[in-house]
Amino acid sequence: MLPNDIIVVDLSTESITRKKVPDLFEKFIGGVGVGIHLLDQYVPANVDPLNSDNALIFLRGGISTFFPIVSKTVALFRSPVTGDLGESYAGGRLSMALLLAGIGGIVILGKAKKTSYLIIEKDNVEVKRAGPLSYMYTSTIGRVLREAYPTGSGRRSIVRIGPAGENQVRYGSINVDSFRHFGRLGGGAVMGSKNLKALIVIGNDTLELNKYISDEKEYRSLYQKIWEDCVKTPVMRKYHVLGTPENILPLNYLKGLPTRNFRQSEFNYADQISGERFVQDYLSHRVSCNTCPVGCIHIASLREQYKDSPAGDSPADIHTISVAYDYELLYALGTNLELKNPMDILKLIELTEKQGVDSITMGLVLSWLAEAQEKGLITLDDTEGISLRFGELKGFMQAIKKICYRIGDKDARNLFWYAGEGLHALTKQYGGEDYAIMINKNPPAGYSTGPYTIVGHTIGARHSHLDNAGYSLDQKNLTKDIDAESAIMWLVNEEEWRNILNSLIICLFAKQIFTPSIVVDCLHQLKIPKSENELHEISLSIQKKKIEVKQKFGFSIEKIKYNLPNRFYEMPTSFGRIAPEKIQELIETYQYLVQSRYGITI
Amino acid sequence: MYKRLRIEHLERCIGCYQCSLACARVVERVISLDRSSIRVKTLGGYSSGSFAVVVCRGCIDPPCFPVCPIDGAIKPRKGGGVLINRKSCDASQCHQECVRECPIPGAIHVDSELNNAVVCRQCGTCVKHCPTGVLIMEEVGIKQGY
Repeated sequence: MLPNDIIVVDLSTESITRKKVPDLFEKFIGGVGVGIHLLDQYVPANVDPLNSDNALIFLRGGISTFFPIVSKTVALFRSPVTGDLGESYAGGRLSMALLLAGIGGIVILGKAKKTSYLIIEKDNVEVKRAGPLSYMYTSTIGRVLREAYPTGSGRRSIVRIGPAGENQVRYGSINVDSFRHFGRLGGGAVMGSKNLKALIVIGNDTLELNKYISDEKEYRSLYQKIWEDCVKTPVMRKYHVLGTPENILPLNYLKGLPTRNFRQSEFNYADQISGERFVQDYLSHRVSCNTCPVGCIHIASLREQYKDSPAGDSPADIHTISVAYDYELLYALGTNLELKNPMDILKLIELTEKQGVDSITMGLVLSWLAEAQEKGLITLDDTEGISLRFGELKGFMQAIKKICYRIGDKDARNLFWYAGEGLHALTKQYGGEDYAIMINKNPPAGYSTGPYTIVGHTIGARHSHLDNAGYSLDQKNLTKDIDAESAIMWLVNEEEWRNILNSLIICLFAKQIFTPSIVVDCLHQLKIPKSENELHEISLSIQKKKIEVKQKFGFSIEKIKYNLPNRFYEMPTSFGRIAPEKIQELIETYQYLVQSRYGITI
Repeated sequence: MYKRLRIEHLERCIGCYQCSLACARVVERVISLDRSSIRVKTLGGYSSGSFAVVVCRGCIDPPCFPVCPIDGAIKPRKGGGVLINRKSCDASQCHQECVRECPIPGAIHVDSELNNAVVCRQCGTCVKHCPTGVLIMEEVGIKQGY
């Protein structure tokens, strides 16, 4: 078995222990399978997500780095956004660094007395003071820590939060190696609540293949097959060429591209911000996560002219910043805000990136603020004179800073303070629930494709499009009708299988490559014998545990079933308008299935 | 005709580590970055978009060879570069003269577990795993800038 020690760091006492959980790894492989059980063990039922009793857990996958594109790490915590399961994935170098630091994962407990960071190497784990690093942007702290630990160059991963996480913006994100993130569900706020600014993981270890691999020749041939599938077949071409923004034009064509706070599903200027346009006019270069030969991370050059130089304004006062763009960002901070100039969208992405805040949630908070101001629900007094209008960049830039800096406090709460709490807190204070786009308090990904994207987000354990690909079912279902039971079964099967992929942890972009039989072969090579049937049983068991953990933290699908925002029933979709009864019927079908499949009443 | 490794298009590097991992996996039969003969690092983080590929350039007259104080530990390879004899090489018996003499920092390095110098054998495994064509095997004798 691979080196799977779990490093348990209690920041309150600065105690560091190594824990062995071989049974969990044997049974659940790694990643989310092991992590969900650790989360259950370490976090009691009634803990405030931003209290020191919450845990922040990072787990690498069970076959990390041993095969191409098996590149991700999972973060688990009680979510300050939804109040229940926090589960988020990031690429970058982290999983490789964890493997080569000789560990399976990290459990962070307690709260440091002063702002701190962690250094993790094979035989050394230290809690270090980070006072001067407080409130640094994610980009700045990356540079400082790279300089502080030059010996780890090329072998380290730097995981950090920005001002938003430190200020407990509930949807603060965790930045990994500049361009990847544990973006969703507020991991950055949890990290900030622990006074933990950063982790540096340095992977210096060497693992002998003959110790871990059953047959080196077969292993190399399997590796080669997966490598070729990644590089030379059409399966991954989409991610290689246009990256995820390839979605813009097809979704726009299908009327599934959320626009203007989900009032429209088509964007008149889609051509201007399409993946094709970005590659043609703005792409600077591509980068890749460790072990991934695809290189889906598309980086644009944001070229800006600055003003008020002491030497007097000059056309040569130009600076250029690299900004990673993805479909979800172009939707949340682009179409959703009706911004049609790619440079404007890149400016918003860059700002959320350095503040360390989830761009999807921020986009939906901003679009709610704009609509609320348009409708007169909030005034210019509420926004301190900031005018938030669809299609206009300036107000959104100002609002993001106000939200992330958390101006106002418990005694003097203002609009932006509530905005930092999230959409749910905003609507409780000001109203406007009908157009607050969220599912279980979590703003969804960018698909207004039809009923299954809404239902998929609702029943998925982390309320993500990546739980079960409801948007994909919408697209498959456009040409044929499918009954409620088959649809729900499809979504549940998809989510269960993804539990296995998320225990390995492969990048889900490659899920077509990692078929059940390939997964069985990969595990066999790592001396983890599992049949497809056994994997199915494990996937069920992980899903059951997730539902139990959510229930332990108070999640109730009954509570949200009738409380989805009305906008979902007003917005045009690829299917036209969606009837509330249709969504409710599907969710009830799911509840029935959960009872019969897992023996749990939800 | 002998061939040696050449970094032909560094600007194409996407930082995927396939070269490093392939070298370790296929040549050294390990999963490691430390024991790989070819290393990738960012120059100023991923946001810079600039990577360095650190590897032996396969010198015809390798400066690391004559400075080695241990008999038989290192010998020039026909066609450029050097070969290390792992049985003779012992970093505890020298001052890592080979590492110090090479003007490319990191092109030859000492593996902390083996206590051996690790350096590229010019086998071309990494070339086959690079998805963007950064690396090529060139025929020895070409004096082209890079």
